[in-house]
Amino acid sequence: MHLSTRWGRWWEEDRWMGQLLILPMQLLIWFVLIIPMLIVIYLSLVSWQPIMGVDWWQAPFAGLRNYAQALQDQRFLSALGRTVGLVLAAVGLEFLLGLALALFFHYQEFPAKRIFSSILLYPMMLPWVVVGLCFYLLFLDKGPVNYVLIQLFGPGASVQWYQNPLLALMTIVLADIWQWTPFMFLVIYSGLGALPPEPVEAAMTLGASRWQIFRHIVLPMLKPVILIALIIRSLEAFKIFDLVYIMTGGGPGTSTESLSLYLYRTGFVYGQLSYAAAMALLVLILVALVARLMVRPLEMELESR
Amino acid sequence: MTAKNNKGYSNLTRREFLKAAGLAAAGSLLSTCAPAPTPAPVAPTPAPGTPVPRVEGATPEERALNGIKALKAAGKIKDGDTFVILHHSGQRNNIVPALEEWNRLTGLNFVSAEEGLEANIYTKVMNEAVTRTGSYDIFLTFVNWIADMAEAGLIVDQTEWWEKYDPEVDHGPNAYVSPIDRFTSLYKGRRYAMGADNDTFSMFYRKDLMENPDEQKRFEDKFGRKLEVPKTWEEFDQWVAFFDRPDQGIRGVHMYAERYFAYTGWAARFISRGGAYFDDNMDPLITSEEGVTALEEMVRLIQNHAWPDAVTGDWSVAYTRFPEGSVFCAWAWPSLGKWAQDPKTSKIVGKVGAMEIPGTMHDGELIRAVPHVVGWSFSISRYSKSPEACYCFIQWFCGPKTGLDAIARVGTLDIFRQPWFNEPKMKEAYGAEFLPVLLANSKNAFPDISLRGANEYLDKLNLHLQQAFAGQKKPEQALKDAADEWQKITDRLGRLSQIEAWRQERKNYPEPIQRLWRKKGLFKD
Repeated sequence: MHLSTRWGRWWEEDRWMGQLLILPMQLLIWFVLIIPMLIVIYLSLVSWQPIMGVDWWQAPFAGLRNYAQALQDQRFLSALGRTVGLVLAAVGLEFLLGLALALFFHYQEFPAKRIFSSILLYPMMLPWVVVGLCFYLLFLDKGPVNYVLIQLFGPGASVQWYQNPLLALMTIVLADIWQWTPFMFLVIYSGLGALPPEPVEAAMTLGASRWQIFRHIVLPMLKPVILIALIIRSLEAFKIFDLVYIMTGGGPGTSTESLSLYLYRTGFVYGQLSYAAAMALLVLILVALVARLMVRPLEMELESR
Repeated sequence: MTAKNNKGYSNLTRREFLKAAGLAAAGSLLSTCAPAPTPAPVAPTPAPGTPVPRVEGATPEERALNGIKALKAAGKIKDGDTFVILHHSGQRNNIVPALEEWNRLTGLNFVSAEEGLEANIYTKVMNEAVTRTGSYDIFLTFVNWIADMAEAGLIVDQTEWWEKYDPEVDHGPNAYVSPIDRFTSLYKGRRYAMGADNDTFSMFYRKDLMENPDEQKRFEDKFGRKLEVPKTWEEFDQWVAFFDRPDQGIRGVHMYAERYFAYTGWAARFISRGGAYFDDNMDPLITSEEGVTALEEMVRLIQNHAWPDAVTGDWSVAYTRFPEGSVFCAWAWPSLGKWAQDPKTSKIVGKVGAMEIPGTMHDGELIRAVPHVVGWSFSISRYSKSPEACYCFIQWFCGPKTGLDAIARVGTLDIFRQPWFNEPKMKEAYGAEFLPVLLANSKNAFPDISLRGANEYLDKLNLHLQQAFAGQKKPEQALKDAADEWQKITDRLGRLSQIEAWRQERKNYPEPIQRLWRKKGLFKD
């Protein structure tokens, strides 16, 4: 009775128009975000594979068994640790190289500077799969890298890049660095261009050295830009799949298997969608926490202004 | 919200509105995304044992075309009806010209849907099993995915149609090579698919080195016997070691030890020794003495006489290493012979020999076991507009005449009917010397694990075998780890159902291997 009165008044008072206008967006959000997420959460709580011959909504309830299994799954934990290591190594080096290039391009004048800065951006315009294939070919036993090594140091200098787990991982990191250093360069270079010149000029007038200017003036002012670049790249690198899939297939064994590759195999090769859903949610929680920790300094920086 | 209340508007808050909208959206989504329950994998036509009237026609192709006429007369299909075939892009040349011919003969519209990556086909197939859109009518997939597709309720049991239309697969002068006729189509004793390929491995070697008198003399001096193509794995290992010349840029062998096909070489030795993947209770037998010895031999071979990319590369490495002349012998699918004899892709044209895969001696009898790796089979979607029309197409395509033309064209489907091995067209396509070898190997072919969850069983096995080949694990430990993983898979998928499937699957092995198992008392039946 009460509800029907409320709905009746809502209708009579023309309140429906505004709410009708936001309805499409509401539906969109429900259909593409909330309902799929609810389904993933549901799947993670049941035991289901398409090949079991029952529908997903009829699957037996498993409670938190999938989560417990993931936390004891050595392959999952190894992939997680390996992926974190890969992100730290790749993004760290990309940042240092990108910063160095940006500083060089910002402070140095040389001919055809614009052309070179454009060329620098090309790697990140290439699809992952192309970069993966190129680097895979580079490091083959009879590939160009070994050819150069043999020419320089003799036949014994040939390296089995994909047989040694550490070297195989290194080739992946190198490919990632080659492709994504330009992104760091672009963001930091743009940030440098947007800095106000007055603080630097004042410091120079007061006799500050180049290092002092960089350390105490440029770097602090660049901090928000750097943080954003690091967050974007870290989240992206955490999902690394294509390079690993193409270059090593996660091998030898699982020694270069990334988290995304393991999730893909679990879900789409082994068909264990419930287990993959549980692992994906665990990763989501972890990434959200890390992202939160990374965003916090940025917020503090903005609040302090 | 306060402002609204102050103006005396409705008490319906934004939160309430969002809640109502959300419930409406969720309700409508759930009503659309919850299709009918998964159908049980049963026959679509009369129950087993019921006599099925045969369709008239002298050949499988004729009967298939008559079937289409009958379906049209019954109003089940009509001219222009569209049917979609999902297949790998490597089969385009085999399939597309045949489709044009079929459409011309029937007035139907069969179209090809290609997929470039094999693994993506499995993903699409499983998506279809869940979403049931009916987007695909026919699937051309790996043989060992049939179980997953059948158990997911996606494909229909063709057994009754085999009786009705007689595709001449397992009998008569046009039959497939046995046992390929069985394991490319059967799951739990029923025909869920029709084989369209022969992926039996073959071994290729450098005939010019074998025919070199100096090499012959050196070999005879070293081993005290004539230089001949080896018959047993023991002889094979010596042969490979003899021709391993790293200083000349030629290694002894290329056999897969990488992430996806590492099991092939090990399985050939293991099965020929009388090993089997599981016992009656689906407990793994790979850690048996046969399994461990086979892996120890393979690890020695790969680590001592192969290029490192046998472990780190992929399937394509054989197709570069052997034709470029950097290995003495290599094994792979039948197409490797074509590559090695093609001047566009090979530096060793005219120097290539093909041989039967070696085996193991058991009381004077040589038992060879040749892996049939992957292989492609046709299956039919339960959600097709007319599964029977789809069946007619696959029978027509795999028929003795149509199939001969289709398979002789360059593509990834290979020769599977026995009489084709004498056809000039096939001799031209494969080389007259190779065909008898392929036929002999095909008769000793054994299937990949083809149980439900085959992908996972094989992937876990490959994972641990590759670690053994890479020196990360001892052979015994690698097999133990794989066996532990297999137990978990079996328990998760249901041991009883897997036991039944395995009981049927092992009947698809070549008779000499089954005889050896009986002799060893491996199984109760």
